[in-house]
Amino acid sequence: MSRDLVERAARGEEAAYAALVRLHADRLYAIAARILRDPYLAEDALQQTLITIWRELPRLRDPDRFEAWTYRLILRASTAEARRERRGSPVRLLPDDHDTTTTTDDYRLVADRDQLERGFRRLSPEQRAVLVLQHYEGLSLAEIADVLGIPVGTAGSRIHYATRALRAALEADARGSAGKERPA
Amino acid sequence: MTRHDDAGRSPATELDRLLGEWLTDGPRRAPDAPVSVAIEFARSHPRRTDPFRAFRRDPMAGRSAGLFALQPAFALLAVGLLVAALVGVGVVGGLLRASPAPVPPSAPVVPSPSASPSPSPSPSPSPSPNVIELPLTTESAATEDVTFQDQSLRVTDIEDVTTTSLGEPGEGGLPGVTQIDDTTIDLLWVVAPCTGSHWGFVLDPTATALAFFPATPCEGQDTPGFTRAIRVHFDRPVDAASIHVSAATASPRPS
Repeated sequence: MSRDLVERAARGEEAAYAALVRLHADRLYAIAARILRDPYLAEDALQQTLITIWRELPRLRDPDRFEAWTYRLILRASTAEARRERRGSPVRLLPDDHDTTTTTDDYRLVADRDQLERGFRRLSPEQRAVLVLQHYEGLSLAEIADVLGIPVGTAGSRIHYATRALRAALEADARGSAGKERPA
Repeated sequence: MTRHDDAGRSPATELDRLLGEWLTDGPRRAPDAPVSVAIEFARSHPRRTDPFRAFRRDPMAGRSAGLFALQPAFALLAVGLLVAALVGVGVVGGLLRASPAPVPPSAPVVPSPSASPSPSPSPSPSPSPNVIELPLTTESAATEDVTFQDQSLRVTDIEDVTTTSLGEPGEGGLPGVTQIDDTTIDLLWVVAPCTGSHWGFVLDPTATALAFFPATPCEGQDTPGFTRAIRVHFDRPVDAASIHVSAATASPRPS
């Protein structure tokens, strides 16, 4: 079905494009929101991506590559938004439309989540992107390499360094917290 | 403390598990606004037939795909054009070498001591054309004033290129040369940054050649090609039919 929509949208059928967009918008927004940690930036990235899809779709030779191509577009738009944001206003938090603390009263879990939020924000947009693709979208290494247009080895290396950077950020955060708790 | 995923593909650490759980939380539903804006954009921007579509790169082609990122038939056509251009350059080069050198008008005519004309004049190489290389950065307008020898050129970007004007004479990807008036011609072609190709316009074999290089660096397989249309003004009459067009491949010039 998606292939048919892609082919018709590529020929310029606006109804097919609208259906295609509605089919994939949630997935693309979820990725952007997790990379950017900001709903407004994610919205901008999604809009940019959807317009690019309309403009560039005729160039996509294989309709079966549509999904991988849209991954690539949303990552590109998200990293661009992140860079723009770094030059501008301070980072906003995700809206509380989803209970990020879940129902557990496990303080340790809450602490983990806050630490992860802080540590994740310290990563570059590219590092966040590979971690989202792997841990949220569940893509394999080969699929990530395909989306990014890089060799599998390079993708593995990028994930390794992103994970290492996150671990270092968490450790630095933990050391900072321990220092604050220490009595003067 | 590692684990393997269901497919047994890669080991996962405690950090991986926490990260996966943490990323699962968060918004999953896209807001309506960007979707509506995009659909409205599509309605207000109906897609026109792109005569150069075959020359646009496939956005999912690998970096090393080169010409094969184009539509297959046109990749073959591009190779054919390249070969034809090389052969053409060879033929034109041979003809130029065989033609007599131009005599400067101020040079005194000295009669040869031997009155008997030579049965076949010895070929002397004609001067190579002045190659004026113009890097093309973006689609934005630019004006170049170029002076060489006894005449000058003014190269001006044409801002408004309509779809119909793209159809001729650049149809099929060949650079188009259109006579505007006695002293003005339009040149029209497609710049494909990642192929490194450039178009050369030999305006006058003994005087001038223009070579347009895509100065836009290749930034991955998604770097879009773009249409270039420029207007060249001469200070003397020029005939569009006499202008030789060739294509070649070269490394893009640094911007």
